[in-house]
Amino acid sequence: MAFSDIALRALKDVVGEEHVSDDPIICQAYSRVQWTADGCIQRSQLGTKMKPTCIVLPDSTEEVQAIVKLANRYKFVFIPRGSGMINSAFPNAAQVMRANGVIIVDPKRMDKILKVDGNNMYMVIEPYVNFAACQAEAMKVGCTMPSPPAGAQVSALANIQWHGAYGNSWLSGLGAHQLLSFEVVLPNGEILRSGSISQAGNDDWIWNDGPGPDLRGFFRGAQFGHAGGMGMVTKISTRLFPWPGPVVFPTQGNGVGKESYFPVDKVRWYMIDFPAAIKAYPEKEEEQLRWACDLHYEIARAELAIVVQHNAKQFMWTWAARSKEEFHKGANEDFYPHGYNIVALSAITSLEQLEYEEKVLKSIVKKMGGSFLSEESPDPKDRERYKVWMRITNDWIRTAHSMRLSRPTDCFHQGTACLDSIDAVADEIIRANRAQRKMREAGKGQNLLPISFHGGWISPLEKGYGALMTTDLWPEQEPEKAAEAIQFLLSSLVGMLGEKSAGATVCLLGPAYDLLGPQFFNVHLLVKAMKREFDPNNVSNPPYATMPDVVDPMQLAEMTKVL
Amino acid sequence: MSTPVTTLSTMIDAIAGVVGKENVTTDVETLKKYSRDTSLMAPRMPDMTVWVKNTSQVQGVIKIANQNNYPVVPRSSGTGTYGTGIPEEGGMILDFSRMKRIPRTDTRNRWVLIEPGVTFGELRDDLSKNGMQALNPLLPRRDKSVITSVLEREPVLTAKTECDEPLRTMEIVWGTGELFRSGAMAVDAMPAEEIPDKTKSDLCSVGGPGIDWWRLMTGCQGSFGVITIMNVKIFHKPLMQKVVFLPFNTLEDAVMPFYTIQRREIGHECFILNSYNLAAIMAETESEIPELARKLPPYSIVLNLWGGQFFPEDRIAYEEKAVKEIADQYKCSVTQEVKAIPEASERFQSMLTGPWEGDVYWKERQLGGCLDIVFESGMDKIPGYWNLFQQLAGECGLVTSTLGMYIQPRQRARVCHVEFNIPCDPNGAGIDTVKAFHKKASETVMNAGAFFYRPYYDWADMIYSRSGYTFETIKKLKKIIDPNRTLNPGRIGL
Repeated sequence: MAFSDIALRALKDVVGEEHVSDDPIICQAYSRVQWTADGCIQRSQLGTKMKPTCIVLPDSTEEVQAIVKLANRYKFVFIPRGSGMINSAFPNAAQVMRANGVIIVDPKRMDKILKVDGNNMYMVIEPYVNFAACQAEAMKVGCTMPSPPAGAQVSALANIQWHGAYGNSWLSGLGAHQLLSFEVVLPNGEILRSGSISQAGNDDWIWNDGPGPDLRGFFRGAQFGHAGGMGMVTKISTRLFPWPGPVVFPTQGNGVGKESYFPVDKVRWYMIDFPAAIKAYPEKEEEQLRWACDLHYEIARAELAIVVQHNAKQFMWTWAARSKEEFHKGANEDFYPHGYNIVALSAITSLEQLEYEEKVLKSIVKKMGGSFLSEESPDPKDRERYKVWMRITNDWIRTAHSMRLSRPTDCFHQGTACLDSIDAVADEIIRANRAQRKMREAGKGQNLLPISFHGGWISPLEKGYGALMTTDLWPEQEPEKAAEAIQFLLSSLVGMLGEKSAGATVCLLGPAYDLLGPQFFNVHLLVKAMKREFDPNNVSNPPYATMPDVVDPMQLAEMTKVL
Repeated sequence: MSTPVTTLSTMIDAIAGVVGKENVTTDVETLKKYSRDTSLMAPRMPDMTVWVKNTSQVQGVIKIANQNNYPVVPRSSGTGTYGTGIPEEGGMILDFSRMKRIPRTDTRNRWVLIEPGVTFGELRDDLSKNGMQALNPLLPRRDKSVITSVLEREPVLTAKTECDEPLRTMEIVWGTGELFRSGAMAVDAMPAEEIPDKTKSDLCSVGGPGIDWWRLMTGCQGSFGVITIMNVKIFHKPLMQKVVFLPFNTLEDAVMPFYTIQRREIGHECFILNSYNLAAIMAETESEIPELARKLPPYSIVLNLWGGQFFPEDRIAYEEKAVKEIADQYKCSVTQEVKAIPEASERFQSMLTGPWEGDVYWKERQLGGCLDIVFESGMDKIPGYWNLFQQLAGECGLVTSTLGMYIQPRQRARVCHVEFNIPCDPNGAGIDTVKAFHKKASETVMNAGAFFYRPYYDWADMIYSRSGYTFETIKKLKKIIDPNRTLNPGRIGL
């Protein structure tokens, strides 16, 4: 059954004619994945077929429910979307092959912050609210909300449901930790309200672990959520954290020249360098990462800080450079010669607390033989490095990395990602970097940025109880170059599987369930049964979270041929 | 075991074939003990109690039960107070109390690996050897299973956000007898304690494989799967600490000081007790409780200032100064002394790190039993619920001065776990009145907006009848995970 004018007419009846469009030009605008390597491949495989059949803009949960019910009746695919950042928000090969039509449910009209509760530190939001708006409102009530490196311009709801790594994950953990209550229109058209709002008549969004089993477990995964494969989430409540002020984020200047400095009696940043004996990079990369781990564990034992991370060398300069030209110039001149440990302390309790934490941090760094960069550093280059970093370091709190992440080539891809202990993720960085160097020695991987740009991002979570790492690649937006990045990611995954790394357990989504499920206690069979139960017509953004049935090897090969 | 079992005797033989005859009992007196917990819920007799000692035995027993449509009710310590371990549809009690290994402690990553029979008392003793401390709820029973407490999402005493969800990774046996592992433990089926040495997993990644099983498995009262080993968060013992008290005449007066203490992230352990509960904990003898309760302030914030591991005097000094500022701001007092309780601060310091050490549990000291109303709420709404509860108690003829109240902030008071405690004599003449009041009060508080997140007692119907598609979702998940309703059937309405 092809997508018919009957379905189109019904959709218009639900949301109003002006909120449905099958205009080819508008639909084309919804077909372009932004800056990921996967998106580049997706475009090259499907070309204009990535174009959705139509776009629908609901403005309420009830309208979303009506759309989902129509999808089940007319068997067209619906793709729930946030702000359209990742490739699962665009039509894919599996959907196009079904030929029943693919609609994108764009939540642009669902853009309200419904509640900010400063006392109980949570906020209720709709899908099209971005992090920047959340942060601005949170700060007004003495709170802060973590922002993702992908940028504060993205949908907070989608990010929290999907992945959610933050500049201050030291405090917050990942997106899964931010999620409190939620309302979702399931693929079968039913509305599930979980947590404190599940009880009829109760509109208090304060909490979610029950009643009974914690259904956040059903809707989130370690690394990923269901990517729209289990319906459309229409509202969530999310956590806020104490913030000492200021109430308005202080900025000066405009555009790329914008700078931000917090009052030093509220927040202080520290740029921590390695001991002299291990500063050489990349020769001492492993020693540096081990030292960083020791530092992070000591800060965890001391229970300090609001931000702790080892920033990869490339993060330092993609973050700090004000233009692409400045980025390449700084890179060539080795402005940041290696990664740095970045720590922020804040006066949540009092100024005395801030002074105490600074005293402890300095004692730890001194004992470990490290040093702080500052405006008084003996080396003038260190003074400049510090100055350049400090003008943008507050972005970790609000603006986040944004599109600067893809600045080197206008395309970005994770080289490796892993979640586990701080030590274990450092192991993965070392393994991935060795593998990449080996690849380059063999004459491959020339399209990725030089290995000297790596060194890994260690982002400890929940005050050091866990950690996330990534290494990053910047292929240009050409299919064969993007494929090289994806192939590296997959070779990393194979490496993790071979070494039984925790990183291998966190990446199951879509075809990965069929590829890896048998190695993980047949988890794919359980999740497929869930997909089948709640999405009997397989209309909610297939193949996410997984396909309802075990995929035939031939079909799996087709789905993953680019890999 | 592929031959269907048709009689109880052949079932017993089949189970004994897995665990050994000495680990199966049908002794009536023993079974009577397993037919109830301390909840006052109606008892149900199991057919047998089976003691298991390892995962392989657990799988073997559950596979036989599953193939024969036979209920399995997991129990770790039998100290349940909410009826969760009563065999509602008969069958067997699967007793984990002999699985007591603590095979690995990781002080760098701050977790400990435990089996389900490990109690809070045992864990405290083991961790103290390494200078570490468990994340305890308020004075758990000495023989309470740590894993059960974690799975039941009992709130821990420390209000620190990162301590709120102690569960890391775990091994699960499904109702089919199949094995599963969550999070970073899923990298291999080797003994969990060997994983950090033999793989690249440190058992710190909680999520996956795929979805977040570590959350889905909580709060299901053993009806989704049974846990055979788990690692949980721990933390370093402080070099110094100091317990202080903030007394209040009304609960309303405590709200803003309480919020402010948490917002400014002062101290570790923090909670509010009313005078009756504080007396029940601190009285030297049971008979002293009513008199002591009369002498105490109606409500007290108990706050443990935390010296930590570095410059502990400095840390306690700035925390103490900040608490005093808050006390001044809200015109209340902060003190280390509690009128009528000698050495209250010192005694509480030791109580915060371990289980209740008395012979009779503190909630039951006065009358021998206790019914709880357990829910979650923002602090701002709790005084309203408490007033409602007390008013109803008065209308039902209960003595309101002997009702207990405990408020535990979670995640720096983002939400509070709340308990209203109704001490009662389980064998007394008025027990039916108390039970009726308990039910009525539960419904009244729920209708007023309190979030009952744990469907205990006979609350499942009350909760799920008003939770729309949530219960349908849970039922569908149960059908997928435990298609034959083998595990704890009837519990939480499943």
